[in-house]
Amino acid sequence: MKVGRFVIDYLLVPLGMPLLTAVYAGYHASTEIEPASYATLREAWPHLHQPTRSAIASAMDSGSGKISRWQYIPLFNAALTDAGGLVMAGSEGSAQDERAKLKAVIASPAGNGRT
Amino acid sequence: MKGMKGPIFQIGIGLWFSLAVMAGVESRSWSAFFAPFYIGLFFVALGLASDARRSGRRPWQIAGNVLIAGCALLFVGSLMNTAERFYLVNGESYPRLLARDVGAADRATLDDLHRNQCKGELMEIYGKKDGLWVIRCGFSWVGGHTFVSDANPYGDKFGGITK
Repeated sequence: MKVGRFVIDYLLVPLGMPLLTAVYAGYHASTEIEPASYATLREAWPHLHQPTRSAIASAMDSGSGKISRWQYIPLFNAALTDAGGLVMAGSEGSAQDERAKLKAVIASPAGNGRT
Repeated sequence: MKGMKGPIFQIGIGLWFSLAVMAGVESRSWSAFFAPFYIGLFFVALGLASDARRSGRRPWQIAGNVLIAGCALLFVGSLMNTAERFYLVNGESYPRLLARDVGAADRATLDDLHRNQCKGELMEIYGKKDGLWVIRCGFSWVGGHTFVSDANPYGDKFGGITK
């Protein structure tokens, strides 16, 4: 059997589908988190240890000042570990509003977010 | 069964692998990836076995039969593993045969198990009849460790609770 025929008969669908999914998942993971996720980090901020605060501040500094879904997962896990529990704060504002609020908390002297 | 060439079969496998990729990327977790990936591999093995059994050559037919038997064993094992979990959580008793007896465990025993055998994994403790306590770290019997104790390991903390 020729290689091309084998690929079409046996591999095209079982490997093509996950490859397409990987492309979509990569795109989706690179998009910005929901406004409520910024609010969750903001609410957790007072309970976070310095390495987690630095990681959040650094994520906000990188790229266009937005946190991607990919970046958010370790930040969320670290925040959960530090705080022991998180308030899933919901948000009625836009992502821009929530970004600004989180930046304000990071920049505030009490926030002590920069190292 | 058309084996690996059947379109429905291939789409089914593709769906499992796609689910694995999506879950793995979305949660940045290999364990989230591998759970559906292994299920996809199981169906790949079934498809290969089906093709091999229909082959004209005797060795391939034998290999196909062996693979089918392996898949059947895996399937039955998975069912039993699931049944064990249901029984652990809901059953009134627990067979000592399935667990390592640690005698009358106390909190020091728990700490020791947590540090050494369980490698820091979450531990669950279930009280059964006749003063038997089952300690499980990990979710399933196959993937975790199971111990039985003749005393409530948290007896000093919850002294009034005997079951």
